[in-house]
Amino acid sequence: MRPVVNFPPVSLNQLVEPARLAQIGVADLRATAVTDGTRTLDWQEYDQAIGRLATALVDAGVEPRHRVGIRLHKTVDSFVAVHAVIRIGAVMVPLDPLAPEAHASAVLIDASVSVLISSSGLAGAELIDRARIATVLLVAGDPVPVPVPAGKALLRVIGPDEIAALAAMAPVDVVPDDPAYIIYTSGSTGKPKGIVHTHRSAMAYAAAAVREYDLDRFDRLANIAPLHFDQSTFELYAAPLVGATVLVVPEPVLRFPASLSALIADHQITVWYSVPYLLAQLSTRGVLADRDLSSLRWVLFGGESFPPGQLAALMRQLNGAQFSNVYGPAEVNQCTSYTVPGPPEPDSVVPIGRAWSAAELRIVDPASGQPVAPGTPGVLLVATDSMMTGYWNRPDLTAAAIDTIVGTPPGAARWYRTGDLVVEQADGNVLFLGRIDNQVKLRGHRIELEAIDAVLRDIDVVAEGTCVVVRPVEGDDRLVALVEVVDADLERSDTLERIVAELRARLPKYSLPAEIRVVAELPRTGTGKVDRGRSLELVWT
Amino acid sequence: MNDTASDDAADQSALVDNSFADELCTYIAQQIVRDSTATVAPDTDLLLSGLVDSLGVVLIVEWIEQRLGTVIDAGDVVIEHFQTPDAIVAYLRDASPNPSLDP
Repeated sequence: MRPVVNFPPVSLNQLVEPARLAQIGVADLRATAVTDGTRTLDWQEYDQAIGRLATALVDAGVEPRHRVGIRLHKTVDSFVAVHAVIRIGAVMVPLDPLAPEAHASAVLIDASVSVLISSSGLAGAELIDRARIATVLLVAGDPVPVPVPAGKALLRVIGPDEIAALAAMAPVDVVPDDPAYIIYTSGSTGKPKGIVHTHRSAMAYAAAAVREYDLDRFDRLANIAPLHFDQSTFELYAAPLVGATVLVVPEPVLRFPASLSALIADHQITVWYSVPYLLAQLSTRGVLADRDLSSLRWVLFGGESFPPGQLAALMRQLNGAQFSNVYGPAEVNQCTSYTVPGPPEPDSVVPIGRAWSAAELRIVDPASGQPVAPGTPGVLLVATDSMMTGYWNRPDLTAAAIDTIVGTPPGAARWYRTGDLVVEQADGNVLFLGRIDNQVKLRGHRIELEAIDAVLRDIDVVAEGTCVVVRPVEGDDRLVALVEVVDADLERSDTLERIVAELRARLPKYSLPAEIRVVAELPRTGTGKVDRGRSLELVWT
Repeated sequence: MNDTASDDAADQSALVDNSFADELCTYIAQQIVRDSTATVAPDTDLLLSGLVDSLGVVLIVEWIEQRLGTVIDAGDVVIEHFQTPDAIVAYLRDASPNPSLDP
């Protein structure tokens, strides 16, 4: 077993600091800190790049606790941007670069963001106008002028050359409970919901991850998840905590499993963390037999269930690696880990396992709130230092999500209600059973079906709409929307085009239905509400 | 690509000409992107803008295989060969066993 580094307490914005890194044994500051396969930064360069962008942010008027948006494709610049924002005690708000501008501006408005770190091509005029962005810092791409929306002559654009000329600054002092970043997720009404993490919660997660997976400075992690997906916190914070190298995998590579496997092999990646879907793709299309992946010692998967047959196939292909199921809503980062002992049987269920070092679990009866005995299903509550402080500006949602339970051990008074139904097996491992609401996972993405329903209903040609997830035994899971139209006489193709255009403009790609079915009448429950269960049956027939 | 009889190979490489490039662009625009406002030109970047996603790549490969009556090695479905329609065509020409192609 590899030795665990005993690092002194440090705040999130002090992670990338040459003095600290030298202290924890990173003797060569010319070692690679972060690379995207094209550009590489060693620890000195990383620190300097972060420090210069931090100075640029301060010059742009950003103060501690201010929110700063990041809308970038995945390169070394995206990692620099994250650390620059938290270096100055500001709050990082990552955006999906592939989501429509309407979605991005909804997030920026909710978080009251006026400063955006982006690249030309991702800082569109409509986004800047709608979200009332005052300053854009361009960190990558050609120095093409950002198109200035009419009447917004006061938009300030700071280009990469200007940033490169600045002096690098050191981290400012922060306190553990200062907010560090906000991860946005869809609320059930469609309005985005911001999960606020602090220096404390992020560090608690990073430290626990280091312990759980024996991370050290010889590790080479692949950052697969985009910045707005909280799986990326593993590479963002756990890696520099021990001085491990990170390969930022550009998003297009993820669409080509054969390219992805080559990149992983070339960079001698030691730990992989992603959603099961990408691992399944790697197994079937990644030509693993033609790659040397002997460096890979641990494969972490999470965000969704991994079909046991696919997992078993991959475990046989990568028989030198350990495989662990990682579970934890973004609200708590992570709370359990389960190492799969061997290729699972086809009909088995992979457990989410036991609480990891930083968390405690409680399984309660949904009605009474009382703990249930092992073997009895219940709703999972989690107590952990890696928990969010709450939802941004939504004290109502926060109060509904976090229980303060009197009489529990000190430090575990706040319990997050996951909304997940689970059961503890006789061997102490917990099994995930399902949700108590209409939140689903599709290729690892969290989707609120009710949010999509709301968007559908809002479309002028739609009278009523709902959506369901179809999970065939063979083939990909897909989202199907069912709609009743306002005007049945309207040309069907025109109606569908209108619906598709509206959905594309308002929803992130992963939330887009793969299919839209126009029906004469949607099934309803006794109370007149649309019956989602029977709608699903309709799709199957 | 799989080795085929030399006659088949000649047919195959002759198919990979300029009209094929146009057909490919049309296929991508109509079946993959499915956005009537988007145009797909031979030099359109398919990847960075998110125009073609993971499923799209699979569908394009299947279409090419059907259209040319060939099988594409999984190891050749890499990012360099699919950056633009031109890149796809160039890969298909290079991969053809018959070196003398008329453009």
